[in-house]
Amino acid sequence: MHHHNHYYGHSHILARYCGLPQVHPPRIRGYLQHGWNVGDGWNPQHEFFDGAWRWTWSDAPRRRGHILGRRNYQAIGAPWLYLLDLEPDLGVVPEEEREGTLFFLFHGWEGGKIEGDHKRLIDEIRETEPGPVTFSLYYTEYERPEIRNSYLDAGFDVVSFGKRGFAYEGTDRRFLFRQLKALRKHKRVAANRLATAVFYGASVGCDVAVYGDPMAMNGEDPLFGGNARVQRLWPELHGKDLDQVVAREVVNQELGTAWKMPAQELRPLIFDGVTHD
Amino acid sequence: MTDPDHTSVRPVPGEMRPWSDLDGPIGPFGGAAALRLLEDVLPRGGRWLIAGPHADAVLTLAQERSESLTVLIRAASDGETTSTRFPTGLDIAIGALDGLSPEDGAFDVVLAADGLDRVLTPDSADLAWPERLDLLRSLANDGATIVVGLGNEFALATLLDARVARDRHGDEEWRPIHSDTERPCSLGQFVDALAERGLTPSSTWTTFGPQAQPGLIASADAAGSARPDRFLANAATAAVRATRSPLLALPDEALSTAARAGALPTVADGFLAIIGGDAASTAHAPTEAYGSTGDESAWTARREGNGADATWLLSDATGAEQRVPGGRTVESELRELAEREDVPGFRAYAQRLGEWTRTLPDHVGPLTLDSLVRDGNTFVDTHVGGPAHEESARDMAVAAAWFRFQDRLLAQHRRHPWPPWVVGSELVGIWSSMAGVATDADSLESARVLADSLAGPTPDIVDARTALADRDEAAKQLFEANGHIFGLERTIGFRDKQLLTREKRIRKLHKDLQKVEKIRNHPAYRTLRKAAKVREPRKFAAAVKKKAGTRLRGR
Repeated sequence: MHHHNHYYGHSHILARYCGLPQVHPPRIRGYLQHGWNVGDGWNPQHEFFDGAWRWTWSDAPRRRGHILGRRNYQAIGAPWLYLLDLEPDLGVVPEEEREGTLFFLFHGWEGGKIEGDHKRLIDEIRETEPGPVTFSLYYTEYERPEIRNSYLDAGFDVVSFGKRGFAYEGTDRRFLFRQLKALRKHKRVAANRLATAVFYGASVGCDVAVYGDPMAMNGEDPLFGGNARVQRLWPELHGKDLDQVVAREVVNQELGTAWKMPAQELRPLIFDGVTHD
Repeated sequence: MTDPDHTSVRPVPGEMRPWSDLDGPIGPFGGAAALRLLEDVLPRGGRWLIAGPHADAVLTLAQERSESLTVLIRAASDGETTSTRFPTGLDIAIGALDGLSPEDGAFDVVLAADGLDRVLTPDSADLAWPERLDLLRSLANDGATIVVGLGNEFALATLLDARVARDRHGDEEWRPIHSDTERPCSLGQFVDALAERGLTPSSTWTTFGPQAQPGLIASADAAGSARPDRFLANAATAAVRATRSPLLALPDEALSTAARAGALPTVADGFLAIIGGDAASTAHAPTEAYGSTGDESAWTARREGNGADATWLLSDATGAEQRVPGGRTVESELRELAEREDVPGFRAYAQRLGEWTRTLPDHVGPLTLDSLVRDGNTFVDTHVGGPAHEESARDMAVAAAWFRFQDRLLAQHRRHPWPPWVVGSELVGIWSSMAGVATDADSLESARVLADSLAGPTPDIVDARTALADRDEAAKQLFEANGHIFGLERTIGFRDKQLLTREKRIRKLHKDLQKVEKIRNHPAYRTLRKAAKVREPRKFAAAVKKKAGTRLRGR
């Protein structure tokens, strides 16, 4: 099993959905999309073994993958949708008690750090957000005091949902559970780039906004067109005050709501039934 | 919108990256024939839109004739390449057709000769062909000139495509949807779809050859009137042979049959419709066919007279005109005689052809029987343009023509009366001698080389018919080999029996011999044998007596 399939506990969630062991999920017979992007769901340099199947969240990555000369795609919906199915009550609060904004900073990863004007972003968030702000940092930024402190000093509640894991180690399989709980508590979700967490937030009823310095990440591959292309393709999801009905339609498309499968269909499709890594 | 001093590049939603239509195996729409047609039908002035990948020559033509020119290109890298090649005067929109906004519209000329397949991207909506046409229509002014192309899914090259359905329209072309039941599949449906939107074409054209670089563009009427083995049908066959798709068989026979049925437009590789346009601007209105030669220059042709045998008047790129008789080619007439196994008729025809070749200069350009047309008692070479070839000795040119005839005859698996062991130089030698041309091994070898140099493009054939014929031949050989093995086994069986009989006989002889040996080894036998050697008993007795006396005295 490719170690990316464990990221954020995706394989664990799908295994549980399919009635399989969730602590040590069986092997997935290919590659599971682990984050949203404007390409085929994987980064441009991702290596695949020949004949591998690629399970995407929605149909658009499949179509984009074909122009890369790749085949063997199937859209199954985002694992997040399966988590919503499994945890309909986790963190749910009455609608009138939801408040504040959960703001996600575009995050780097183990191989690349972000660079940008955090001060300016803080000012813009203060100007924009009417209520309390919870600021979410991925651990790569959370563990950089100069970044974490700048948001703490701004008076934001700074959180990190954990580590997605790498090379089969350090996977926090409750990562998305915590994120779900936090999103269900907030009224708004925002980010400085259109990214996975924005879609997740919209899927649980948060109003969405995307604004602020999008920042840059070292070694970002421009092959797919980067954030500029994202802005061109989804202008309706960029701004501080968006049409939330339109935004939810896009979110449903990108998370692949229509592609989500029943367990009996998903199980034989992706799991080979052997319980090991 | 267009700045004459500078080319603007602007993204619209739906760009493709990484991708290139310009550098891909299909390439942009263009070619000499298409360019010549567009020169004839496109007006001057106004705001122009070119949608989809089109060759630089087309863009240059549009830039010369337009007041402003917007180019919609779906691949980001192609947009950048085009802006480099055309640093001034273009408005390049990189993205999908559904990424253009109505504000981009109100064009006086809309050129989508490449068709409506390469204008969408993975990030476009799944728009069926009529929806794409609606989008294109919405960008045009009332009364605009619109040129729109359509790939024919009933084209011979598609019907004969060796690839299974799932592998067509693959990585090289990226088409948005693969099961578009609303897409027109004939010229009639194409025209109807246009007319339903108020876009009744002023002229319709059939294209032959690769859809993006057609080798022949013929008016729908001319293509429908084309007869097999005549000028236009032959030009269509030559163009289709240049297809890039792997085919299950050569398209020649099927195209010839389609022409006999008057159905050449039905199996054309594509269609072009011209909507609107200023009639006065169509300077070459009577032109009914546009073709390109191997050297990428264009020719045009129009008919003189009506009927199957109408004469064609060709104009090459230099404007030089040539009359092409409406008759069949020499190749088709000789092929018919060969298929009838009419060797005397074939010989007489070859003789007449030989007499005509002797009226030519000593050194001539290439002769090809598939472009030679009989006109009464003489012959006319209808070959137009093409790469320059050095002149060669007349007899060698004739022998090379026979080699080419043979290659084409065999490639099409045509019936003929000559046995397989004379195929090659020997057969060409026979035909050459029929035409009064003496050949030897050296001249035939040179002619072979010349014929190879004249061979045009041949499609990538995964020839199912040849494979089936080979299978039948292999089955026949296997059957015969099994019979041979059976015969040999019988022979071996007889030999075995024969050997067994001989072995028994030898064993019996051995036994007899052993009996004889027993007797031979007995002392009495030896004595007797010695006694038998006595020929003169008296002398023998004297000798015995003498010997015995000597021994007795010794005691």
